[in-house]
Amino acid sequence: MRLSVSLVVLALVAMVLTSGPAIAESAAPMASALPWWAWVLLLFVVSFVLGIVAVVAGVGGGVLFVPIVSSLFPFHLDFVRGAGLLIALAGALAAGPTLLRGGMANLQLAMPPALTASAAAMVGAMIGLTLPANIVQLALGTMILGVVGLMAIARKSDNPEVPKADALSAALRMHGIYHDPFSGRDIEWKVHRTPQGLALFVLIGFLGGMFGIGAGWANVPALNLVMGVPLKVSIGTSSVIMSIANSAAAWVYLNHGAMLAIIAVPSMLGMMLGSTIGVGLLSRTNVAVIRRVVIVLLLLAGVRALLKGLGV
Amino acid sequence: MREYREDEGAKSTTGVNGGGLRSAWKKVRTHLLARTRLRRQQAMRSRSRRLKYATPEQLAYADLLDIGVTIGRYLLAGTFILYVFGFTPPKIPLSELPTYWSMAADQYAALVGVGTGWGWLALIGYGDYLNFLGIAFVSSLTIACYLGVLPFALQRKDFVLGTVMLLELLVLSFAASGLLDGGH
Repeated sequence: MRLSVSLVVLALVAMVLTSGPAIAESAAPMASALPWWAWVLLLFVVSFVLGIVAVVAGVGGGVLFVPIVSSLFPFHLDFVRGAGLLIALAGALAAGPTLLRGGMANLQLAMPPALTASAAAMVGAMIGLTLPANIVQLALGTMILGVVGLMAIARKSDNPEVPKADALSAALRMHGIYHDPFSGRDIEWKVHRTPQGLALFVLIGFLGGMFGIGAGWANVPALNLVMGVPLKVSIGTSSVIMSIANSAAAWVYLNHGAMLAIIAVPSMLGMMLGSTIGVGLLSRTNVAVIRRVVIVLLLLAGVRALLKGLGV
Repeated sequence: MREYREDEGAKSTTGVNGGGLRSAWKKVRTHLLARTRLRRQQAMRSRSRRLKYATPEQLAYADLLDIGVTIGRYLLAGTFILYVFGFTPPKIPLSELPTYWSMAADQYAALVGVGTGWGWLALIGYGDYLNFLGIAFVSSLTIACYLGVLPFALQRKDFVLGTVMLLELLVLSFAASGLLDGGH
């Protein structure tokens, strides 16, 4: 099983490396060479594989989907970003009820960052849709390389030490208690450095809206390392923040006509199915290896986006 | 509160009327009532356990979201099936899509004649735009959830959280309004 997942990921790496430039240079002829349904089927398969990989590697689907699909498929970046947002939104919304009921996500903690992130996501989406595609590609490539850097160096802290909650977090009642099933203990948590955290969410929301990627890769470090939220609550709450911020950006894309059902719906279905299978594979897969392969995959996709943006 | 056992109702009526349809119906009815009570008690216990880790508004938000996601899933899948299998005619024939999907969104919208903003609503009779209903529904879920939990904050006189919720509702409603795209 471990081998099969690794092979699937390596096959994706090979696809990005080999077929990318050919498609990028001749998107229109490729589009006419294959019937519409073949592209849709391929999109479903790639989304399905990305859904598995995203869960196993612990990254959001959107951050893999946008750079890889915009590299491999003849679809315009506007529609890929629209679909990417919907994927991230659907995944976050679906996970929300379980996380909130179990206390793994905290609504009161999510609401203030979600407010700054959603306002910024709306602005990011608007700007992203007005900029020329090559500029967005260039910025996307740069950002993906930034994500790679963050994934490679970011530390994690299960239960960060928060000596004293700051005044803002106390006013917003950003504190709680969660049950850790592994240790069997109830863990109380509080938050510090709230203004810095909220400022970070402005940037995260802006990038998420502009590139149509779910921003779980940035939400979790911001909550965990900056604001001092326990890792498990950070992961759960990140999903709720994503569902709120992406709703604002999704409306902008929808009202701007940057969504095609034929691209968005198969991607969502493929990603949802892949994620379900990915959850089952999680305990049987070498997560560290897959994570390293995903870093390589994102590195290649980031470089490809940069090159596309530069017209190379 | 006294706890009901699953077999309690059945036992209590055993041998009252002997055989007969009426007696059997009574047994079934009592059994079902006892089971319902048991389930209600289990749900209440589970809710009170959850309340240790989540506020009532968090649980209400989760319940609303759960219902919305289920409806959204069916809406998305249903409208897509209608579209792809040709039950509703599309604005752009499926076979012609490869000519359009490599265009920028603005260019595509101009060619198709769908204005920005809520302009897509005028084309809802077409299969491809019918799918936008599901997408719009899913994108609106957060607004519905916030509206659902706002009374909790106001009842508790938690005006700080209430203000955060109201501001979020304003942001989301503004994004959904289509005003950002000129409101065509």
